[in-house]
Amino acid sequence: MKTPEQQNEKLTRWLDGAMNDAERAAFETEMADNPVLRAEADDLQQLGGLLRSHVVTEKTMPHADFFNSQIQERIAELHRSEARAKSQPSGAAAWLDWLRKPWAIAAATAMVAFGFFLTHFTEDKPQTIVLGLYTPNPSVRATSYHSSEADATVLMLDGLDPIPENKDITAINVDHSETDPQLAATTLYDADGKILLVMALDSRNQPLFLGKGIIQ
Amino acid sequence: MIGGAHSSNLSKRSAHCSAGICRQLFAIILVFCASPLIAQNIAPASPASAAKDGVVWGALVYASDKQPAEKAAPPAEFPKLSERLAKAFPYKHFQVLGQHSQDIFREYESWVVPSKDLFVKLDSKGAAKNGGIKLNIQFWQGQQVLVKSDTELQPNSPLFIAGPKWRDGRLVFVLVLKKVEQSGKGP
Repeated sequence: MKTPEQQNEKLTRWLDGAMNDAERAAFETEMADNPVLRAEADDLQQLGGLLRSHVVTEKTMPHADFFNSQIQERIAELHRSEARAKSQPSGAAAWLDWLRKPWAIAAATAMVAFGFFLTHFTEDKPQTIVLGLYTPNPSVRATSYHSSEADATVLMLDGLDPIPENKDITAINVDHSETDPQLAATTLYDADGKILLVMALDSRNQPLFLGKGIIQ
Repeated sequence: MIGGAHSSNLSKRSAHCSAGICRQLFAIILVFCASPLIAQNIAPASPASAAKDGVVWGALVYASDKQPAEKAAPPAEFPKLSERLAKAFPYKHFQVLGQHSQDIFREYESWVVPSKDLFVKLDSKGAAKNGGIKLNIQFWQGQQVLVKSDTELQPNSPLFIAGPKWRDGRLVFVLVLKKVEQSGKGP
């Protein structure tokens, strides 16, 4: 003999279609032998049909794709925010956090060494610079350039008259000199203190040489 | 009377002339006495007391393909001179004919005269950046200026001036800033 609760439970499961084939067959045999149960089952089945026909249990979502994509974007943004909050401390701590990384000291050392290399070895060596040129003789052309191979600045004079072959070039080795501003004269000495040459300016500020002082 | 008047006129003229001579003599004496003072005011102080901006070394070099009769030792001021010149000029041999180390004083002209045929006049314009010196350079051949140049001469960065051709080669003037005086540095 089944209790009313057991009977109701079976009836509910039958109405919901939750029984397997064997249970359903046994329960329908039982209903056939029990007209009261059969009538109750029919009433409930009819009521269920009426409810399903008047109550909308499912509703089609307008613009479902857009809605889903918005939901997914919100979820993804939420995850990203959580990830950022975990990985980035706020304020000054965030700025200095990289210093706590184990590779920070090695990286900083490498950067300092690289900077020293750049400034020390790649800095341009000061070069002699010709800022301006003027040749009183218009047939003479003066140009200048820096020869990196010679590591020197070259001032080229083109158009000069060659010095005659038969002319000797007088040259001296000057160790030091003394200048007398009153006389506007410069005395040139060799290493032994002997006077090689006395140089003065004439009234037109042209150099005049007194004494021979020729060693070659 | 006429004679007296004439005599009086003569005496007046004589007095007038002697007064003029006196004035002229006075002016000459005044100028003579004052001239040392004027000279002192006009002439600058001696180079010994002037600001020294640096020391330059200049040399006159004969560049040619012909080997010189005597092989000279390289100059102490520029041991690699021949090698450096060979990079700038198409010659095989470089012979130093003459050389001259010269102090450079500010506001004074300095002459670098390794030869009385080719020499340079330098006017210092004060210190340049990186230990250099600003110079107005005049390159002279005898009584003629071949070129005038405003140049910033830097230590260990020589200036090679390609001068006139001579015999089988060319004369080259070399100018090197040896050192810059700290006291002579400008602002």
